[in-house]
Amino acid sequence: MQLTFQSVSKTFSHRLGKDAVAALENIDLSIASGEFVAILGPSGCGKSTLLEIVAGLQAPTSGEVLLGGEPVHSPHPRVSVVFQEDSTFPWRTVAENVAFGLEMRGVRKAERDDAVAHAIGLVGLRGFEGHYPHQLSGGMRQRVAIARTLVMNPAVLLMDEPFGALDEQTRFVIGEELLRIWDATRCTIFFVTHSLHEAVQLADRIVVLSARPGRIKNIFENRLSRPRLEAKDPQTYAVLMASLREAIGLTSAAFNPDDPRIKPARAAG
Amino acid sequence: MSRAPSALTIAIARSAFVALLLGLWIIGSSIYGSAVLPSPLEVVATMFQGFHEGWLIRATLVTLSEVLPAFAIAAIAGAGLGVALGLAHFWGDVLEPMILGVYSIPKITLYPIFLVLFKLGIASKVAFGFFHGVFPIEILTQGATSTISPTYLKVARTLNLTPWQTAAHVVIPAIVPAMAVGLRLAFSLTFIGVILAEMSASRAGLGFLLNAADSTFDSRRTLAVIVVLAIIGIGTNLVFYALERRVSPARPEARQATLAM
Ligand SMILES: Nc1ncnc2c1ncn2[C@@H]1O[C@H](COP(=O)(O)OP(=O)(O)O)[C@@H](O)[C@H]1O
Ligand SMILES: [Mg+2]
Repeated sequence: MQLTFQSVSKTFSHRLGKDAVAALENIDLSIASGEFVAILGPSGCGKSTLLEIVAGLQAPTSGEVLLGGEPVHSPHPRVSVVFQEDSTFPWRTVAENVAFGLEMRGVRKAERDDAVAHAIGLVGLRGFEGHYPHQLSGGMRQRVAIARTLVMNPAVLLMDEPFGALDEQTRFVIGEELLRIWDATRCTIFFVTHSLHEAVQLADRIVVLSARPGRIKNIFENRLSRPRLEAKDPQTYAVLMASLREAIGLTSAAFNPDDPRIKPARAAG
Repeated sequence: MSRAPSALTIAIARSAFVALLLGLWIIGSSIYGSAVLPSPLEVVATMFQGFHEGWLIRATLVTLSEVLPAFAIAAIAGAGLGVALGLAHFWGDVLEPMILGVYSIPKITLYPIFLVLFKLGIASKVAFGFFHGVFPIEILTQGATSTISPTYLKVARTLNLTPWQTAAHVVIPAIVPAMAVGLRLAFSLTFIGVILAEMSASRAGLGFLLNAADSTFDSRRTLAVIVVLAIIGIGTNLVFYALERRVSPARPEARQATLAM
């Protein structure tokens, strides 16, 4: 399903003791069906806000998000979300967690069981169906969260720094698995991250946002062939990394308004 | 690092401790005389007599007939109000300090008001027991509800769940462990409230019996009543601990800890 942003802006109006926050400004972007796009930007630049607008959890202040040509006003049944925080329910087993969405939609048990078993197989958790989340590692819990979205057969998968809490090695392994799943399902993936390596490992296109208010700073095509190991094509890899570093460096280090090194100067000026 | 003691070792040590307390009681009884501190056997004999003659069983039934409705009303009202205030952050914020404030008042000082409102009979005991029990369950339920992970609620929203589905499949399962703790505390406090009310002004029940025995220096009866109170208190606590263990997100080590308490 195609995903289009038409000059999406979001301002959080001021509340008791807090100034208004301009989180996103004029986001224009078009994502093709089946594309894997990474949104890369410093923390606080509005990545989660953008994702929640697509998910129908927040409304933009102005502009529109179109899903398959239709404007988004509420959560779309073909869109699934993997959140950064642990979202597995501690009172449900792995299989029951994965079955949750289907159960709520009233899918019959026999049908549900097949879909659940398939999704659990896709994320490599076979044998853990009866375990509770507290018996699993953080990486395994995120796999449960991914399986819970896969059973819904999403056309668009929104992922908000899903591996942010994992160590680098687990992150890489689970990233490769995500690519395999993406290959098998061919859904559109909108992947929010603040990790350059993760963006390069996973995405076809990398959209770099500026510091708050988030604007699209650059969009990079990633033509490296998968699996993207540096050794395979060191030159392209190095060029891509360098340009990303530059884009991020310019956006996050030098112009981050929250950077303590430049804050006093701004206050004085 | 020493090895963790086995369950058997703990059980043996616990029994030894109970035996030690009973031993001290017997020694104390022989020092002070059974008129002041009757021995455990004399107390048990009085209990049997009380059940046989009926006065102890009648008092127990009166007390239970006050505690159970008081607890049921406290549990339902406390849990309902807790969920409502936990979800409606505005009203939760408005009312929380008042609820905590009333909770911290020594409630026995308010008993005369209950007597005026509900008269001397069972109603004032039920009301006073309720007044003790409703707070822990309300406070714990409200706390658990207002701190439900926002991510859980977002999952519910992305799946377009109805409010009823969200309540039944996300909110309630998430707060059940806290509610189980609340129920246990609510029962203990309801029980205390009813006994205090009976001791202050009443014509029946274990609290009344305790007062009557005390004022005639009948220490056998006093202790017999105290033992019945202890049996009810400890027995219900064990039941509630078992309930807590069942509903706590299965962490074996946490289960063990709760069990051991
Ligand atoms: N509900 C809200 N009310 C006010 N400000 C908010 C709200 N949600 C997010 N913000 C602010 O908007 C900015 C972007 O937030 P977010 O989208 O979470 O950033 P990111 O995910 O890139 O770290 C931040 O400065 C954040 O403080
Ligand atoms: Mg974020």
